[in-house]
Amino acid sequence: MTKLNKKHLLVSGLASLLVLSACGGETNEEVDSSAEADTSSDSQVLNVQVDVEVASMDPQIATDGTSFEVIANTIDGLYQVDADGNPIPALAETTDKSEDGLTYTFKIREDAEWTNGEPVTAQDFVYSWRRLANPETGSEYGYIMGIAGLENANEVLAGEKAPEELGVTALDEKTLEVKLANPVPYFESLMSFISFYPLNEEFMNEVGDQYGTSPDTLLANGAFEITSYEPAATTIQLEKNESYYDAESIELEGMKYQVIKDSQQAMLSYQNGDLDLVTLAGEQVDLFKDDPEFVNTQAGYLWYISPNTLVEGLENENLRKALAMSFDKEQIAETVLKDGSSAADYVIPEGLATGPDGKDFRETADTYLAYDPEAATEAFEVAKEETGQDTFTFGLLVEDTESAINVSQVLKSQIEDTLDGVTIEIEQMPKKTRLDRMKQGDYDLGLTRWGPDYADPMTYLDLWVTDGSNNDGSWSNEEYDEIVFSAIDGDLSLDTEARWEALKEAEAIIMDEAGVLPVYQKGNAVMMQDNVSGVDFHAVGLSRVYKNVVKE
Amino acid sequence: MDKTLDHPINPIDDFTFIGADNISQIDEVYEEDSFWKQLVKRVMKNKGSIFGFISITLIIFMALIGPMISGYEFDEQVAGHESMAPRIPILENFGIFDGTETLKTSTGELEVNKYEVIEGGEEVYHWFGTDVLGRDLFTRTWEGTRISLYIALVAVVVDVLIGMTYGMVSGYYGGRIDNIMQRSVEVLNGIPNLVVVTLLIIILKPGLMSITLAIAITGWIGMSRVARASMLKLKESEYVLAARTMGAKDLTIMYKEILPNIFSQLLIMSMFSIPNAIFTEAFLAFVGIGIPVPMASLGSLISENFKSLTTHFYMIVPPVVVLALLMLSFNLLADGLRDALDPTMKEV
Repeated sequence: MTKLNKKHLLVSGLASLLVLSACGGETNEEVDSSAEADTSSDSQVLNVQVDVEVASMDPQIATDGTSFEVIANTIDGLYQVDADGNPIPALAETTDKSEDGLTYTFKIREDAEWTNGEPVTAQDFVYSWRRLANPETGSEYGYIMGIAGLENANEVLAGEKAPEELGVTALDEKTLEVKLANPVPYFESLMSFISFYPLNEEFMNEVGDQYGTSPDTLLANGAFEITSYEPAATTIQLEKNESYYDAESIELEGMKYQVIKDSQQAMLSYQNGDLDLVTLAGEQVDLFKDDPEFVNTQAGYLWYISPNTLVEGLENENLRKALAMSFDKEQIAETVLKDGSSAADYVIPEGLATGPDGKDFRETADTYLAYDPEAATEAFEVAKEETGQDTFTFGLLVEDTESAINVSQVLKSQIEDTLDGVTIEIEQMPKKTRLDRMKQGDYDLGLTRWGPDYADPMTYLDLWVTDGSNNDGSWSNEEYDEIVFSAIDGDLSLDTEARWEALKEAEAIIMDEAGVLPVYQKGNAVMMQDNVSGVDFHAVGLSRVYKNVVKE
Repeated sequence: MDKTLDHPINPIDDFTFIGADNISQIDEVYEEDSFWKQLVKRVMKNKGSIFGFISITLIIFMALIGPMISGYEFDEQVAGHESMAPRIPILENFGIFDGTETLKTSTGELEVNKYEVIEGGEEVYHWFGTDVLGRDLFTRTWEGTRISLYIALVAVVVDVLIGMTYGMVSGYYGGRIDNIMQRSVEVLNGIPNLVVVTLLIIILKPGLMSITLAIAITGWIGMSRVARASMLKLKESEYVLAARTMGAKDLTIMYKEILPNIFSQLLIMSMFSIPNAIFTEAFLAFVGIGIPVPMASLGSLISENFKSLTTHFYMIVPPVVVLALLMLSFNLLADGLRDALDPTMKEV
């Protein structure tokens, strides 16, 4: 190296030092603020890790679990779920249900108020429900108004009637009347679902499109209010809402969410004591499963492969069946995921809904499409004859998360092993792209999931009706449609027992035709500091509720 | 001389033999060596490049036979063999690589040997261990090395075919042609490499093809500049003028007269572009836009196994070591070649 070069190096080195020291100011501040967080972590602030950013703070727009969780911390609906997953009143002080089950009258708590001092009124619910059903809002959950069975809901959704004609009215400031087109047995459970949460109309008009983009444009009536937030923020801070009607029973002084996508990094933070609650992945479970702080919970999420029945080959029922039976679900759940997931030989997850007989749906229903290489090969032989084709190549769409990639590789290897002549090509992409492509029907096979929104098998079964907005694979069966529609608002909706039996039948139909190929029911492995207690884990709707949390 | 001598001559004083000791310069006659022989001789003097050469040869050899001798397929998932620590015959008798690993669980350290737990595990050997899906890492590492070596080959071919030709043509014809060609290179060079690759992957399917194309699109620019600069220097020389006077065509002058004289620079340049290309591929694979699963490249192996860094440390070691060794070796060899062929380039 010549002298000139050395000089150059010296100069550039000094320059970079200057730049670095300029950055130093900021980093110092960051360190300071995290030090603050450390001191507060000793007090009553719960630090929670999530692996994706909050997509939206708008209750009628949000669709994902993380957004739901944060929204539910700040806003209360008419109902909430207790530790056992049963709906209990939240903002509804009294509920009157008419004898025919078609009219609900809710009395809203007198002491419920928004953080800007306005009382929570019946009009707030009317406003947000009309907003949900209004096609102009563009809510992906709009259809749930129809599921809830509100009068004129489907017409409003289709744009045929004005949102004002929706079957919900404010009788006076605190009385909300809901008119249903047909009895809905799970209506109360639905009322704890985020999409039905209220919003203050006046405030919404004030902030307009800016709602939910900063702490100033958010309004809370729930246990916490947001003090630090911006779209796609990696930390979200919440503070206890002193004006919450049940503020006395909230022990926490605040919460702090941190978005950490890498589970190893999250675990290191947990071990440092910076986090109180983290989710574990795959291999980590082995290391921590004997720890007293380890908690295994069953989540309602069902992971399944959606076959696009419009693709040549996949319209064949036997081929779909062959595919469905050709992979070892037990192995996927137990050796790859390890997080408490279980093999799914069904589409209605375990622990989702309890029937009129008081038993879980799965206890009385059959299982289908279990791993059976021989039956798979047989079905494949039939499929080969029927289609006149010997080899099939399908793309498998997966999102680029660790578990999805691992599962898809096992699926590929096992399907190709069992069915000689099938080739699976894995296509990895970000989740959003996968969802878009599946919505457009631009795929062969897609590894996807569905989380239950309310405690009824319908939350799954209505997905796959002909032309349903979530029926990506375009599977269609008239008998199935008939049962589902009848159970939503037809004859079956009037007779709970017959309805329950019919739902089992519907599941049998879709499974017999392998309209979707179930893979596993997700479990969650989490670590929770031993001084924290009272986090409620649910399989349905909200996955975690923090109202009863105590941090000692 | 006809004069008679006045005094007797002392022959000893006048002329003395200077003897072998006092010879200050002597012409030694060297055996004439060919270009390649000289090259090898000079490179051999450099210990670093010998090391580089030997380890490249070894890695190429292992990449060729590695996947065949392990007894496993690179995408074969052996059920029950998930996350097994390395076990190597003979060495296991010394208490290392015997398949034991220490798990640092939160409740204390736990020593496990999965080979003793699984059925028939006594007979099983995974030399580098297995990954979380039960695939043999030895096979996957060498399979991944193949990809890296393929990328190295692509880099050289692209350098020579596109970069060299482009630079030589641009430098030889000069003037307007040179201007146009150089401006378009500048435009191409102005687009960040990562952007080009990402765009390519959106258009094409992610895979080896798009990485190859990405390297082909931008990898040759450095080479073309060196080729152009050398061409500019040499095209005015007398021997080129002589050749032209004798009626040589442009192509003949370029490839027969000038190319042999700039060949060493180009060789060095292409050697240096190899580690760059290998690293680009590994980087792309690490950020997840490399080759599709379940195929393996060194970068994608590192990316996959990185997720188990805190749980099963051994998984990430083989691809990292091979990648580091490969890049180091190519750099050392290129260094040695440069010293041997063109010491002036050291300053560059």
